[in-house]
Amino acid sequence: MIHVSHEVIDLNVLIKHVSCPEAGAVSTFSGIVRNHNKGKGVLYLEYEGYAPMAEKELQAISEEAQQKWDLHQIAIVHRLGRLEIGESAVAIAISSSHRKDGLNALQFVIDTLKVRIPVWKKEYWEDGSMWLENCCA
Amino acid sequence: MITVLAFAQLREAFQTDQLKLELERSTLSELRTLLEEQFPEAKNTLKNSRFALNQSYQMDESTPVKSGDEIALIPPVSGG
Repeated sequence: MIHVSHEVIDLNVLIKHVSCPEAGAVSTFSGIVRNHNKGKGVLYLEYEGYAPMAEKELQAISEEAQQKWDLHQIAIVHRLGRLEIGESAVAIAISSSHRKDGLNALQFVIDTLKVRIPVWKKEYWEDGSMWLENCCA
Repeated sequence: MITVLAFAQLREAFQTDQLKLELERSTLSELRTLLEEQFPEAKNTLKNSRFALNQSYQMDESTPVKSGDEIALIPPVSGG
């Protein structure tokens, strides 16, 4: 379960997908739209993505995590479109026999996808808007 | 005819998400130069943008583009 979508994310679906009898741990992350950024009030965000390449990169990141740590399953969903404050933009669920592998992989996946996947967010305030940048090359 | 997919700030600067250019043969580097000339107001964003060729980043801009290639310009990303 690795994809981008315009649908509301249900973390429980990801958890259910990665759970298995061998897994002693399910580690999850949910990236939420907050109402402030660098001192400015945020009204909402718009996410745009190059969907097929974003999914390809998410798949690659997942495989890299599988190589580095002892994991069972990884699920990642990134949402696109307009997101209101409090909504989840990205969700990750990782199952592993032991928690250390899962927690380390979780950190790796979110940190890596933020600088790699072709997805962009535009932040909207009272007096304007701006495309944000996580990194350049 | 080459089509370049554009996103975010570049889509706004080009006023299209699919820029079509009259080019027969070109490298990514030549394509970059042409875009900088055609869209001087987007020069800074272009400088910080990477190419993707057939849905993978292509950092070697001496790479030639051929018919059927899917080319995209990837401005600084901000997913997650």
